Amino acid sequence: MRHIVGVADYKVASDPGDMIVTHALGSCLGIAAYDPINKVGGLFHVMLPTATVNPDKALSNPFMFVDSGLPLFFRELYARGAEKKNIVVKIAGGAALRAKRDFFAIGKRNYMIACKLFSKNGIMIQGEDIGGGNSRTMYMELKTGRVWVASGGQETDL
Amino acid sequence: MNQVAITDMIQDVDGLEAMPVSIKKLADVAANPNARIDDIVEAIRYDQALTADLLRAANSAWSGAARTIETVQQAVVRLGFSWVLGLMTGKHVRRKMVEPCAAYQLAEKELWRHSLAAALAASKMGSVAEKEIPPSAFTVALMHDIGKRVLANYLDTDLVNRIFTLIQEGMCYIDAEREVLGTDHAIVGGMVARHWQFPETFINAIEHHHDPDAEPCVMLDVVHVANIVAKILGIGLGTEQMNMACSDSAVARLGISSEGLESLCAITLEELQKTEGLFETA
Repeated sequence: MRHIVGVADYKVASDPGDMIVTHALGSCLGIAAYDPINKVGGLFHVMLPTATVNPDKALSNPFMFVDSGLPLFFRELYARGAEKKNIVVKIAGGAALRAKRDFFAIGKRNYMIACKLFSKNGIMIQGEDIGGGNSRTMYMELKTGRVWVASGGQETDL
Repeated sequence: MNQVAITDMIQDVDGLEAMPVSIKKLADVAANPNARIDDIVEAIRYDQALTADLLRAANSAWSGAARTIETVQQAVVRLGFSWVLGLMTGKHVRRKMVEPCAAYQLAEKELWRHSLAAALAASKMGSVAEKEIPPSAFTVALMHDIGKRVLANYLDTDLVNRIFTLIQEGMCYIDAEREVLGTDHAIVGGMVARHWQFPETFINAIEHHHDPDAEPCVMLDVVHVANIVAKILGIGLGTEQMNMACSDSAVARLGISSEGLESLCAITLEELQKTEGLFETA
């Protein structure tokens, strides 16, 4: 089965025949997490760095924000059988619009907050494709845990 | 693009379906800061199709009206002027804008979703901006990329490849488009708005939405930032991708902070999820 992840959403799967895909990662981040021992994986498509900019929206959909959505995404992975010690994390996205200042650099801020949270929780990011000005499509294959990115007509394994 | 193609394109714009007179009248009311609710009702009341659409929208689950809305006046009060003009215009242009735009790598409905996201960002911008946002900003943002719909018919593979080459060399999409075609989708969008006899503020905002510092005005700044929000949401990126210049001055003039911009993105995404079906049934 092919699961499509929308903006501010995630999917977790464990069927070896499954694939998880998320399209149009511009400044948004795609966060893929996979436990190769228990064969559980998930993909999270998150739009904004921190929930403090709009706590009401974070209540109605915490998956809009990295800091409110990421812990819930991992909680769901653990509930489905994944174990923290096995988890392999790969991330993609965080593209930038053209601007003189960092005002519009939401992609960069998304990446920084994600890195900070992973570091705080002792989880290494083992592959990434970040920045630039192009959107990406991110894939995860549940059978192998392979994660790859398609952008500008090219595919890159993470 | 040669002169013949540009002449054909102008004829193509001229051949576009005319905007209903009542929508044109509504747009004029929108451009008048002294307009009253009676002026809005007067513009709509003799157009039966428009009246039916408006009442249907006002009585839909989305509107959440506590009692049945029976008159145009009640519907205008319930929905607010921003939505009345936006709904009516959106219903008219949606049919063209849901079509795929292969030359811009926009699949079916993508151009429409991008435009709707920008329109919703414009209509909600007042909640994060110090500046007062014009009520017709929804409608203008909804049409900001209408030029892509017209230009798409003239972009063959060779032209698309030439634009792509310039982008790879570091040029912004809109500049590359102008370099190769001698025009761009914003200018063509302005031609469409002019053809529909929209007010000058609408035309100016559509025509310059990638260059708000050229002739700054509130409507233009709003449309520029609304387009950025739709891009941040990742909706309708197409060949243009994230490859557009953002004006620091436009956000400064509107009085929007970086937290405000992020909050607006969250608000817009939620609104988009609530609103998408509305134009299909309104």
